[in-house]
Amino acid sequence: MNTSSDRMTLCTVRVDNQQYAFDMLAIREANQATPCVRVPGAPAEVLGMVNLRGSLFLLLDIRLLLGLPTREPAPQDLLVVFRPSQGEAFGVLVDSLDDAMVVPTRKITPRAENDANDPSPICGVVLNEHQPIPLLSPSLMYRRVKNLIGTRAPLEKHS
Amino acid sequence: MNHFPIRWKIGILVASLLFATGLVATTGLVILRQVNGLIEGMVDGTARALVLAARTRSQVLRSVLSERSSLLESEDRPSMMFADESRAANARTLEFLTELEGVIDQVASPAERRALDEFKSAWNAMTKNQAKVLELTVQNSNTKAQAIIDGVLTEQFNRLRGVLQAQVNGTQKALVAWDGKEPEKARREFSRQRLAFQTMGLADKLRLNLGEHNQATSEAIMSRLEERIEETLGQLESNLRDLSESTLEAERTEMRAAQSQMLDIRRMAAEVQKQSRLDTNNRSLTLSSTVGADSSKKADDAILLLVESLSKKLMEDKKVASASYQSAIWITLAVSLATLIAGSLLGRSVINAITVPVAKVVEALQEIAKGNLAHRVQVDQKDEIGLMVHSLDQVTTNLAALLAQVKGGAQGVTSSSGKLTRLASELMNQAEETTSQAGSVATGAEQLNSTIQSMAGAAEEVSMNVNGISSASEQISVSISGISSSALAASGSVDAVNRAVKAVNDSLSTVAQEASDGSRRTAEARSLAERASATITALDRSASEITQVTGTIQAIALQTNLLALNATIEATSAGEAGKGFGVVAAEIKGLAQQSGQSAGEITRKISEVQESVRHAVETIREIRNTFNDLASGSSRISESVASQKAAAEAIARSAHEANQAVARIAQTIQEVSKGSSDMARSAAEAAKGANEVSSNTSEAAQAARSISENILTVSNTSRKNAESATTLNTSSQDLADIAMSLESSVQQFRLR
Repeated sequence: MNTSSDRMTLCTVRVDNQQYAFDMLAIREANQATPCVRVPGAPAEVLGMVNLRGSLFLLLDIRLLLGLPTREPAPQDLLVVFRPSQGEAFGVLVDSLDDAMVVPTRKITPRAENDANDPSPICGVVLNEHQPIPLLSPSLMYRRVKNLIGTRAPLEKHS
Repeated sequence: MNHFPIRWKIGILVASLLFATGLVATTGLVILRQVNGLIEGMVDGTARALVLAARTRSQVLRSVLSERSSLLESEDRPSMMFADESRAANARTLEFLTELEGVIDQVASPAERRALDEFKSAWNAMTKNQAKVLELTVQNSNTKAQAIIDGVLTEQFNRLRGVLQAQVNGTQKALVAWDGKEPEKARREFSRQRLAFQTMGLADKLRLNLGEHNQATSEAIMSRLEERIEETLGQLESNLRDLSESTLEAERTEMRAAQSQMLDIRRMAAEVQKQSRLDTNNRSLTLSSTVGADSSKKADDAILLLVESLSKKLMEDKKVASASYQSAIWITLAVSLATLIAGSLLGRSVINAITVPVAKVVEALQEIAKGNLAHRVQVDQKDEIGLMVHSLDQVTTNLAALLAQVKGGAQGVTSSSGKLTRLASELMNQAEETTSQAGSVATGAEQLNSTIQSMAGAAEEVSMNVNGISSASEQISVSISGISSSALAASGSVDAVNRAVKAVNDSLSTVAQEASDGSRRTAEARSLAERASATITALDRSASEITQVTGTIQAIALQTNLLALNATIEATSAGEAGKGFGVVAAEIKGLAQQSGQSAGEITRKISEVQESVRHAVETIREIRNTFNDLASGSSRISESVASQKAAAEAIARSAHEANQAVARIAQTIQEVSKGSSDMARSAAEAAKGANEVSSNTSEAAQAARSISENILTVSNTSRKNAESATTLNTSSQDLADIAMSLESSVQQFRLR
């Protein structure tokens, strides 16, 4: 997952008052939310498309993917865009970005066997001194949405 | 055959084909014509004769049938109709017979000819007899005679019998009534009765004799019967005369009528005899059944013989035609088979001479298409194909030599271009890696730079605003000191009013003096309070502006935070190389958080100031109201000071209230004073913090700018490297492609 095998850089975010972690290497950048354009005929998990400095990204609803009640995007939301290595480049909206943290790999417990039909994007748990933080995998999120879309043509083109 | 030119070969093939077709067609035509002649002869001769003979026979039979029908028919009209039919059948028979005689000369044997002559003589006899028979039969004389007997004659006899019966009855009555006295009379009656009975018997006899006469055929019988009839008629007439004479007068008339009736009977009997004498029916029947039957049987036998003979002959003809048809089929088949075998043998040799060498050439061309240039065609022929094969072999040899040269050259080029390509692609990969890293770091740095600059501007604005707050706070302090002194003065005035009220009874003029003095001072205090109010409102507005600015600072701090996070992301992905940059990003993040915290502190403090200011505004408004009350009270004192003790007391109460209010003012003003000094202090602190933020961000901006510049230089250099490497790579790949395609093209050919 990371270049150095014994430690891993994570970025923690907050969604619905709960802390989650992403691998820093999966993130392309974080930014303030920009207006999102709905995609007709897309599943509910796709909020729409966002334009970030001239590039179009698919915007997924992380709340639906985590099984939380969904809500309309708010102006104070922050946009986290993932690298194309996680599928195609796409982003999610989080309530806030907490911090970057470096944790030893042994403190991360991977989740057993993610089979293709499991909709959960959680791929492990970070054992922090205060409380455990779920580790989210953007590639699992993308795979879920890709399955929902099925064999249709890709909705976005990364220019 | 192999050395003939192709057009000769094709010519031989076509000629043999035409010859075979012509032979089969000619044979078929000749034989068909033979069979046709046979069938035509059969249909026009024998079959026609047979048909005519059969028709003749049917007409003869028809004629005989009609003759018999005419004989059997008793009525005149139908009998004549049948006779006509019979004659018509005879006419048609003659017609057919004439035609048959015309046809039969062509086909008939002597036996048939004889049978026909026999028929003709028999038929002639038959027709002659028939003519007589028909002539007789239409007269029907016997039938007519019988009709007279059965019809009118029987009627006459019946009437005669009635008259006679009446006579018998009359005599019987007279005999029954006889008394036995006159035996003469009885005897007479009795003889009359006997005479009447006798007459009846005579009448019956006459009828019987007439019938016999009609049936009779021979002349002798007829003559004897005629005598007997004449005798019976004479007896009948004499009996009737006797009866008439002996009868009573009353019955005589009747008897006379019977006598005259007897004349009719005699006439009828004569007619019957005359008809019977003609005897046509019997004669015609006799003629028909004797001579006619004989001759018609003969004619029928003769014609039947002819028909049978002809049909036998027809069957023989059919056998002959069938046999010749079979032989025609066999001959045609044999000729076709022979020409087919001969033609296919010839055609096979011609086709072999053309197709076998062509197939060899095709095989050779396919081999060449596959790339086998070592293949040679083995054909020993001197026609056009032989020439073609020889030229093809020469072309193949030349091509093989040429390709061997090309192959050697291509292998050399391939090996050197492969090395070049490998080197170029390594170089390009390295350059691309550097460019992409430098590009992403540069983008981050530029963003950081611009954000920090906007943050610096905002921080300077904050600094300026805080300074404004500082000066405004000082102004407030000054104003409040003024208020304080005015309030103290007011307090003093109120005391004076109190004293004046107490001494109101002593000197009203003094009171009036003092009252107007109080009024003036109150107005002064009011204007001061209003000034303080305006200043505080301005302060409130400044505080609101500060809040807005600190909001902007917080937003910028958030953005900086995001930026620092993005910088951390980039630094992480850069690995070891990004570590130094990561440290800078973390520091910037710390500064941004500190800025955000300071801005939050300022906001909190400003809201405290705003709270205090609002409190001060409220208090000053109360002061102003109190002064207003005081002013109105003072003017009322001036107006009715002379006599109004109650008013003086009201003034005293007002003054007391004023005193209390002034005490409150003094207290409030102290609070305000404290609040404003706090505010001044906070503002100073804020100013210090803001200045610090400003200097921090300036430092950060300076550092970021230098990083950005360095990175840009690196980025530009590596981009140039990448471009050169790409060009090199493209060229070397082109070369490699060309060499490879050349080599693979040559590989397709087998040269030895």
